[in-house]
Amino acid sequence: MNGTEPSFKPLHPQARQATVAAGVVSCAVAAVALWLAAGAAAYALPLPGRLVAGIAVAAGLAVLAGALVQPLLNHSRTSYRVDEDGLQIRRGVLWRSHVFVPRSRIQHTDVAQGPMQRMFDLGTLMVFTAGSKHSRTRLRGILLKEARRLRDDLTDRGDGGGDGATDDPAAP
Amino acid sequence: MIGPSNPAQDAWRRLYPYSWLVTSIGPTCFLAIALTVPALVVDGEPGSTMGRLMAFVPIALGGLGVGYVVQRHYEYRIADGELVVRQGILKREERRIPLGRIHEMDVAQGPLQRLLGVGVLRVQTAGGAEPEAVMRVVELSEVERLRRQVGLDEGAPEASDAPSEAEEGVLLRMPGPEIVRLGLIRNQAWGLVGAVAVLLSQMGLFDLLNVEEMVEEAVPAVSDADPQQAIASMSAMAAERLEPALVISLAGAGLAGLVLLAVALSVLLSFLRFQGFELTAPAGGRAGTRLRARFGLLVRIAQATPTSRIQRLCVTDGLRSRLMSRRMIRMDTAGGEDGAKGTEGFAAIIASGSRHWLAPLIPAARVDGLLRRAMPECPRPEDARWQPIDPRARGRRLRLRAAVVVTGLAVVSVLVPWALAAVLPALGVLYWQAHRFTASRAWAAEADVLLWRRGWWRRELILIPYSRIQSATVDQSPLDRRHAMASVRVDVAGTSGIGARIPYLDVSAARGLAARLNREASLRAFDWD
Repeated sequence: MNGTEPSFKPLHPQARQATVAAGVVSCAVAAVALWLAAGAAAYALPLPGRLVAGIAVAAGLAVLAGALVQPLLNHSRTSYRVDEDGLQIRRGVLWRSHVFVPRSRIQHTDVAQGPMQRMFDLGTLMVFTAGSKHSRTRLRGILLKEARRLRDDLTDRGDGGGDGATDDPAAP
Repeated sequence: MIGPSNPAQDAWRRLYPYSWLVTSIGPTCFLAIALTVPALVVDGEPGSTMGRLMAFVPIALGGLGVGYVVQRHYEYRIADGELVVRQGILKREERRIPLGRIHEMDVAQGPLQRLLGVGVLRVQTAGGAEPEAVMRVVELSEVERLRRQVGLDEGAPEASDAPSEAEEGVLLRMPGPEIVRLGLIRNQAWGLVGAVAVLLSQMGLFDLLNVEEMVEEAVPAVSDADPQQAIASMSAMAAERLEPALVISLAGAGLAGLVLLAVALSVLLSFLRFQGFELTAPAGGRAGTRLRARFGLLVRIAQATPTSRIQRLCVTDGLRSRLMSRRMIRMDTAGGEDGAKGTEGFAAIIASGSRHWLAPLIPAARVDGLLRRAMPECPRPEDARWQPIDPRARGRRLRLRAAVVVTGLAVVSVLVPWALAAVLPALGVLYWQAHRFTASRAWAAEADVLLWRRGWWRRELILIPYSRIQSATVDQSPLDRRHAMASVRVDVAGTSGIGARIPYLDVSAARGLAARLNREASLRAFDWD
């Protein structure tokens, strides 16, 4: 560090690709399911074909929004910072929150990597405190290297204990 | 058979020798009553009742036998820094509880147990709502010994019922009149009374109020052709018409009776729960002292809480308690081992914590003193530098509610035109409410403690030491962002939920507060002890 205050870092761009990939898969699955459901509904129920199609399209758009648009927006709005005092994470699209986790309160940290994340070299950092609401603070969408670096940084100094888990390839 | 006289500390110990009797008496009596009383009431025939009792005896003996065997198979000891408990007949279970994990050992005594000087010991750890070990029953002297070994006590002897001596400072006592006041303030019996009312209505009591039926019955009588008969029936009808008035006044009296019943039950419940409430602490008042509370009428509970386990204090009062110049203080505790580094031990910690009464009812003048004993870093609330929430809160709350209310009234006015007249008074009420909301809320970040007060009818004063803050969050809802405002959420350990949530702050004030809390928290180590 050259002595200046570290600024908030955004998530890694590769995470966006992972999100898109996951979103596309979800949408594809949902599209097939909706098509089947619409077909069955049009066949079984005495509803006009247009209505059924309209509902299916609306549902499809909702899935698109939930699986693709929202995660992408979330990704671009999330940023984090580790300094002397601890970890800070800013996130949220409509409802924004800015979490402060002091170093001395970190009981335990975890780095995890799901199968999708493995393809893109991403990892999830989980920071545990004794609190009830924020007992587990999760940071997804950073490189695995970065997650490990943060973990080491946070558990290095401060009263928090070392972490038990290593890079557990199990899904978070 | 190995009683407290055994000097060897590592030897296996058993429960109180007559535990099987003590714990079985209650259920046995209940079973006996359940078997015989309904039969007596229904049959009225002593013969079959005797037969039932005869059949009951072997069942009772069997139950006592099982209790005895279970008790014989229960043993415990303290070894290698752990409390080891072995129990079970068919399936032997051995449970090891690290002493550091035990954050409370409560004693509950039923009336018979109090006579015998024994009680049910519950060992609470940071492992969730269920106690890790329950010992039915052990002698009180054994409880004392265990508490000393576990490290929960500094050795002060515990008398079960007698008030403690002055060397242990008595912080609060609640004599009879206080319990009555508590019963008047807390409506604990309304649910019960409501259920009784429903029951009565099912039995047709309220059908008497059905006036229409009575009138309908009278009408055919009036339409009789014969005038004399008509007069006779009309006078009869008049007599009948008096009845509704009588019935209504009876119903009114009945309702008043129900209210009185609810109040009386509430007072009774308060006695059952809190009779003889006594809160003591060893004289000296250093940090980490244990606050001991004893209370209860039939079942007497003895609790001890180290002040270092207190995460948050909450002083509340309502209209009735203010009338009597009283307050109520609750505390949120959490405790446990910080040695466990793995996720399992840690998950146990976050599941721990409970909300206890520090003072179910206390005179307002003594609140400060008690707060200082329970939370030594706490400043006097009057001396705190209170910061109000942002004045824009008033406008925001007013606008939102006004929009809802005016729209609602407009919709209703389609059917009922005069509803529009209610708009102005409604707005007036809303304005007053918004004003009171904003004026009643303020926070103070003092040297070691965060204070947050809110509420108008029901007021709350929340105190959280910085050393207990786990994390702080700045939240913004979409409306918050439009007005450049935010709220600050403070998290403490335990299952009590959010420690405090301070809404409607200016966004820079919110960020500044969160940053300050973060810094203060990081400067102070968090330890359970």
